[in-house]
Amino acid sequence: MTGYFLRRLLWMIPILWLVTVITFLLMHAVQGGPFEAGESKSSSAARAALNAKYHLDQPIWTQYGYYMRGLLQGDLGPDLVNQGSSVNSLLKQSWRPTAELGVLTTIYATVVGVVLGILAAVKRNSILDHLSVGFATIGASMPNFVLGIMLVLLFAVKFKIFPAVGWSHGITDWRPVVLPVLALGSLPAAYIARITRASMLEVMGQDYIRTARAKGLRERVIVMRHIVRNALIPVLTLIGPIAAGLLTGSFIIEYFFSIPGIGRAYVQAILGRDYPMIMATTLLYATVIIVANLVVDLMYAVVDPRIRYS
Amino acid sequence: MNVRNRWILLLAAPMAVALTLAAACGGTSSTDKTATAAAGGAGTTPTSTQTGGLPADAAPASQQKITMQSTEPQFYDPHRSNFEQDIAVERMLFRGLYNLTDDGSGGVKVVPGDAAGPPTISGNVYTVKLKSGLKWSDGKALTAADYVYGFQRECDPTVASPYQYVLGAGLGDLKGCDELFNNKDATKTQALKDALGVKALDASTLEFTLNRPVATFETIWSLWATFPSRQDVIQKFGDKWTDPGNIVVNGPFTMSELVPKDHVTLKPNPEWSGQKPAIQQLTIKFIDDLSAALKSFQTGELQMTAIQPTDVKVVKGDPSLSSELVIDPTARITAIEMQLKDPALAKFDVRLALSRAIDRKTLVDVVFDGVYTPATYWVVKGLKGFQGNSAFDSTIGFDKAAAQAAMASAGYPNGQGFPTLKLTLTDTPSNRNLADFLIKQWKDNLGITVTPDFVDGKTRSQRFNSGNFQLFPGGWQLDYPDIENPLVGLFDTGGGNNKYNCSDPAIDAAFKEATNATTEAARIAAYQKVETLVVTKLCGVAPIYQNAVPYLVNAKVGGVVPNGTIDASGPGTYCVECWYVKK
Repeated sequence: MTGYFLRRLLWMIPILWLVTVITFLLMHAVQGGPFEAGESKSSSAARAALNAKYHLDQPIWTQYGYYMRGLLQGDLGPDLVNQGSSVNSLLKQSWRPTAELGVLTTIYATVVGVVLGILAAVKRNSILDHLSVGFATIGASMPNFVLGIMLVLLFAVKFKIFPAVGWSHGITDWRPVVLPVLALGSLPAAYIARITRASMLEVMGQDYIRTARAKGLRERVIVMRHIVRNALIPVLTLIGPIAAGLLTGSFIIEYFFSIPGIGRAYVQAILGRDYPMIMATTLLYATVIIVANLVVDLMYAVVDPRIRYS
Repeated sequence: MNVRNRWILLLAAPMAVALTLAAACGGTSSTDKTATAAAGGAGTTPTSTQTGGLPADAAPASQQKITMQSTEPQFYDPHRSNFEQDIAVERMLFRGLYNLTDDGSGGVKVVPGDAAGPPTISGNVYTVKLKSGLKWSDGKALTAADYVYGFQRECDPTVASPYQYVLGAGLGDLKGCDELFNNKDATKTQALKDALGVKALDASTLEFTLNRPVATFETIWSLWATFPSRQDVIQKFGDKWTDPGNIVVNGPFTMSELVPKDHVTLKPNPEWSGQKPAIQQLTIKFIDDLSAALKSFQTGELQMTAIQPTDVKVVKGDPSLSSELVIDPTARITAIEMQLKDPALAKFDVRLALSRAIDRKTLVDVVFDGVYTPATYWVVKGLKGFQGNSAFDSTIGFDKAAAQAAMASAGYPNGQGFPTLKLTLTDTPSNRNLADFLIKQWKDNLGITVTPDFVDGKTRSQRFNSGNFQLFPGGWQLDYPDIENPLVGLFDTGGGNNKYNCSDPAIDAAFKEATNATTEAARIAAYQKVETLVVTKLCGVAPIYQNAVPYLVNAKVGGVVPNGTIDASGPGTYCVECWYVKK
């Protein structure tokens, strides 16, 4: 297991290096540079001075060399959009809202999805089941920005319960968190609810459940100890990729709710041709996805003792 | 590890992450700490006497707080700024020798700022006396040397100011500024700085030496590019000198908190000697999505915000919001910009046909809900020398028959044999509507095919700057309110911003006439002549509308003076000290 874990960690190095090469080439292949301003308001002399300052007048492989030299020393480079700041400091400020949004949404999606899935399966064909399936269908078919607009119109504009934009700057100020989490989390919650329900129904039909009932165990014990525990194994393996998706896939929600996170900064970096910021966020997302997949693989062994890595 | 322990581990892991994050949220963040220190470091909380002179309907000082929307500035350093949102905040933090203000009739006038009065002029030498008692926000005296250092930074190639050109040839014409900016030999830098045409004769007297007399001296010397700088602060903190806690300002407000990507908070500068601001806390939220900003205004979180022109109809239909709508005509003309190197567009008759085939009034009504103003003029309304539609409608305005005749005269009757042209635009919803409208007009009225080419903003800029375009809806936003600004450098042969390749001896001669004019009336008349020639010859531009920016301003906010023809972001941002919250 340890050997497997270390091998997977070592594989990260060539994968991330390839990510740097491909991203570097792609972003430089796109027209326009970071100092192309509006409609030529800045003089060509000013643009040339800025390009020289940040080595953007050098051949692309020389620029890549400068970048990699900094990267290996832990320097992610200057922020070309907000000159004077570094990408390191920008990421330091931006990671928290993104991580908070991702973790809170994962918790919300997991709790709501699992509870609804269990209730729907246990109370099959009841009104609760129909409501749960209805939620899952709506959640799965509605884009998160559409849901975001509806939530804002209802709970911010109409009832003025929650703010329409912004993010919490302390645990006491929880209100700005609610709508983005609901908007971002409803799709994965619906997905988890559907998987949980299907998995529950499959387990409920197993012989050992019939045996448990025949033994005269109480229904609550059968559900909690035998059905839920076994039904959640496939659900648990889904949470890793869902968490990775939520941590890296909140661009639209961050933009829509003006959350100062990495997703919004990534979009702005691409539009502004902020090369070092594009590289840093791409590398960060690649790392998160690689680590999440590794964790999922390790979770298989934790939840299913039959799986062993050598 | 038994099964129970595995379950505990699986549940504990996300809980631990959540608790760690919660703990991180719970305390004061490092940014908050900096902000607190900065607020303390800025000096004192303004007292009620400092905010004296409030209007009779003003709320108490404790309620003088406003939150407004803006796009996030790139810089808070006036010598590095390029965008209106940067400049708007910088004018709250800094001021220069002269100020621009509303003239009460939709235009702008120049008034002394840190200068005691107009300059004393002797040939090419302009002498400016500073007001007495000027101070920086840390209490140190503001002297002429701070202005000298500011001008040296503006012309310094290592600072790479995007607006250095306003002090360069043809505009501000500050002696030695272009030479310093274009210098690549580090050994010559100090000598070039010493030779720059700005000297501190004493602590309160500045002497500027220009390459020629400049009629727009006070206007250009009111721009952010001419603001003073504190050499000791910049040398101490380097690029971090504009961080809260480091920044030292000379304007009505000082920065108390900055959370990048989220907001900046300003507080009154206790050392500001001008009109004391009524507002005690101004929070500028960085919101790019104007639809979200509109909703935030409706919830009461924002008291001021820009909105999209396409939302104006909705706002007008809302009895509450409609009374809070402010539509500020902006100092910007949008035109169909044309590349004259293109073989088809090189023909005047083709350009004339393209211009006369556009029904500008219907365009503005259909695409922009009537928020913009149809225009065939290039010099914006509000400027001295404004000529308006009446001067150009009959020559380049909508006339289908004349458009078709011009196309036939160019050798393409009913558009036959005409090559397909490309219309390059930034990919936004309103630009898609604009492209649909224009392409249909040209198809219906001229029988020609134009294809849209939607790109992102940076690609569009790159293509424009390299002259790699055919048709390009773009235009010019005034940098400063003078008739020369939308003309000089854009239409003169070899001009730095002449991306159209407009080259016409008559236009060049009119520019020369303007430069050599000895009276203000003659100068204005010469520039009117330039505009007439540019527009009637369609020398790279066919104006289509003057832009406007719709804003919502909460009914409780008073003192919002129109910006007039100023390059601004937000309503009344040029007199932020005029704002107050009503009872």
